[in-house]
Amino acid sequence: MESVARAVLAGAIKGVTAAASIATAILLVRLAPEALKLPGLDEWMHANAALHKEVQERRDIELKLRTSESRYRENAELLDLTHDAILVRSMKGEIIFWNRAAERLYGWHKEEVLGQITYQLLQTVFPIPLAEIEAELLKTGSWEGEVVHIRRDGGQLTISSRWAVRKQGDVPVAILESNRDITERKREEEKFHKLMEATPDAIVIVKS
Amino acid sequence: MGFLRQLFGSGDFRPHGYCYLWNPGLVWLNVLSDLLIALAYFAIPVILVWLIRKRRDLPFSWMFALFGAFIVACGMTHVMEVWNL
Repeated sequence: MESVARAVLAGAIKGVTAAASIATAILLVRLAPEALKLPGLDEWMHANAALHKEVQERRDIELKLRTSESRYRENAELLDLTHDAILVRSMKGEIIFWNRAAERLYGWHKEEVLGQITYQLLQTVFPIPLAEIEAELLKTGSWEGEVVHIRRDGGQLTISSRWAVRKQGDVPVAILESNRDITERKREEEKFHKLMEATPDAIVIVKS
Repeated sequence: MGFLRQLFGSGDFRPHGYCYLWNPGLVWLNVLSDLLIALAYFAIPVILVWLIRKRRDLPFSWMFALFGAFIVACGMTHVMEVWNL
């Protein structure tokens, strides 16, 4: 390369270097106060410790939740073992639990009935107005009586029903309904009754 | 002794200006660039030292100090180049 060109190239490189150096210095001057504003190592450590604590707490809560969830599942499994149809409904009447015996008795699967309103689903016939039942339920925390339910296949069932209110603090949150099928017993009773009425003999039942 | 005199005396050395072919534009470009570079190189360590003094928790602060020293030295060579023209 010619010496003139070399000298010009060297000068150009030096010029670029100068521009870059000045730019760096100016940027650094502007950057320094920003860098000073950043949280220090101590603050990071503090934040980190706080975060660590929170993670630990959450882990504990999760563990507790999981334990209670498995306990809940166990309880639900226990409820599946009983012969009575057990359903839990919210205060609005939506079914939130439906055990195995209820599936057998009424013919609907749990998944089909969750969220439905019991009275509508089972076309419940109450012995007294529902409003009265609910009033008593809220007052005493429970109710029991005979109701008529219609099964999925249209069959009519006479049910001995017991209701209990579940409260959280003072607030009622759910109603547990335990239903026993007494259709057969009822029929037998009626048959017996009719038999009694039909007989020409005088029959008196005395308390023993 | 002769060697030292040879080293520091200006006798045997050609002025640096020969490299720029004594072209006024090139000479001024070099002088100006060298001065600007030197200025930046002396300013940067000042900021770095100020930073490591303010931020006591800065990790590897010795590296910033070392870099500051290095860049001051670099700046000195550019000053020398102007002087040696």
